[in-house]
Amino acid sequence: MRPDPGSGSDAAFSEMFRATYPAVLAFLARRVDPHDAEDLAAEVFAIAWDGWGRIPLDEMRPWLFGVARTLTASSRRSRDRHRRLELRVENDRPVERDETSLTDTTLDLRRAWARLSATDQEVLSLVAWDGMTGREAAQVLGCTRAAFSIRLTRARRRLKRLLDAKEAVLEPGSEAVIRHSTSVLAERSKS
Amino acid sequence: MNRLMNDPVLKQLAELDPAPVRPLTRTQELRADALLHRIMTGPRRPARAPRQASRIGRRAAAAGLTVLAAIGATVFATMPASAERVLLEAAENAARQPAVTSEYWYVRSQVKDPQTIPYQREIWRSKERSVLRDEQSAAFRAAQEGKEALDPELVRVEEITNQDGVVPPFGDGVSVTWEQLERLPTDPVRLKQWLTDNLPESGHGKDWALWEATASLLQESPASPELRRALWEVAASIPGIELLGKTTDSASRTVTAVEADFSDQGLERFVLMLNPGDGTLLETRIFDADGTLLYRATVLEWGPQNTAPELEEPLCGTATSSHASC
Repeated sequence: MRPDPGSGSDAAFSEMFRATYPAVLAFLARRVDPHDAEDLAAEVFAIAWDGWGRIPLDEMRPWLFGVARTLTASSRRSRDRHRRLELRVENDRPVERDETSLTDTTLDLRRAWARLSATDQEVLSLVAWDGMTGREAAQVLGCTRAAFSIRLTRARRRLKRLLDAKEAVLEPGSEAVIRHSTSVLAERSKS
Repeated sequence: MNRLMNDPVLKQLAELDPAPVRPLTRTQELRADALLHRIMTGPRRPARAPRQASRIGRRAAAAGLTVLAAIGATVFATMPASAERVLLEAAENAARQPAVTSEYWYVRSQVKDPQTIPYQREIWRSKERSVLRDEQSAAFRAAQEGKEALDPELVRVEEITNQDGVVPPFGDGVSVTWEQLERLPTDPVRLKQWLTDNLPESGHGKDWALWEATASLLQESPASPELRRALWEVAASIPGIELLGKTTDSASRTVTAVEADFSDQGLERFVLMLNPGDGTLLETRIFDADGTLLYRATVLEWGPQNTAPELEEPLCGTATSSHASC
């Protein structure tokens, strides 16, 4: 279960760092401003180095995300600047399919997303954006696999319900979230 | 391929990732290299948990283990009702139970989660093997089909091993083999230290990891009476445990409930229902932050057994597990 703490451990850490750093950075970039993301990523890997040899290798990736999640949730910096997980605006990626239908669908999804709770957003994003399996996501959230499966089912159901609504009536504040999302991403694209 | 991504909405969501994983830019790469060098050439600090809101301050009366271990049963009557008192009483009485040995340790539980109808789980564990009769898959299928009863034809007795063909260890978080279980310290201070040293970093703090490990070892392992005492004492030392009081569990037994609430960290709220009179953990409930019951396991029967049932052919043939979808 545990990595061999003997020779080669430093090389293994270096290899692990290079394999996981971009994903951890992306995970953090969705939750804090980009320059804070690098600072927090540095802290995540410093903690990983301190615990190197005690964390089973096959649990390393979800462990790193769990640490990153805890850091974003607890740091003063993130309390001040923390924002909900936000979807990418349409012009942030190349359009590959029918533009009109894609835009409509994307808008619906963005509206539905904005109305989801932060808890539901987190569960869905761990799978859709971080590519986690149920086991890994459960480890990140500190719950059992069964519990994560339940959370995911519920979040997916709520998102689908919102998407299925013919005339989605936005709750007060939802538009603000979307506008904020757009402005933050526009700001980011300048940097 | 992650099968969870077969869902079309999740696929669509994936396309809108605001920060997709991309190869690092040259500048990011240089900064990453510098970071790696700085980390690996700097002094290595003792393993630490990430910063997080401390729960310790929430309960000024949290007592140290050394003090707790010294408290005798006679003191309980003079202590105000508290989770510590209940857990320490359970510890004292667990230690008074007769030690029993046999080839197998048997536990039968009733389990409920929102995706299944209630189902039973029976497990026979020995040093060499684990035999399981688990109705979970059948209960899941029954729930999906809107049935109130599961089909017993879908349930099998099977041997379980982990990916390496080894008998799965005991404990959530901490992995304890049968041999290790027999050698675990029964002094609560040393046991807590051992658990702390051997728990993988969960990223959720020591208290959460200790709670999960002790509760799981109390629920389904053949821990000796002295070890059960120590486990309850370790549980009593975890800050923030609250007494919910006397109630009845799902099997209508009178129990005392204590709660460990980690929901302020975005984690779960655990409720243990126990009989302080003999130190048995009778029911475990796990709730989401919004109060939804995520999991309930009620221990109905437990104790030593000399034999385990015959194994049955897996549902999907010899090469596949009966948990697999046919």
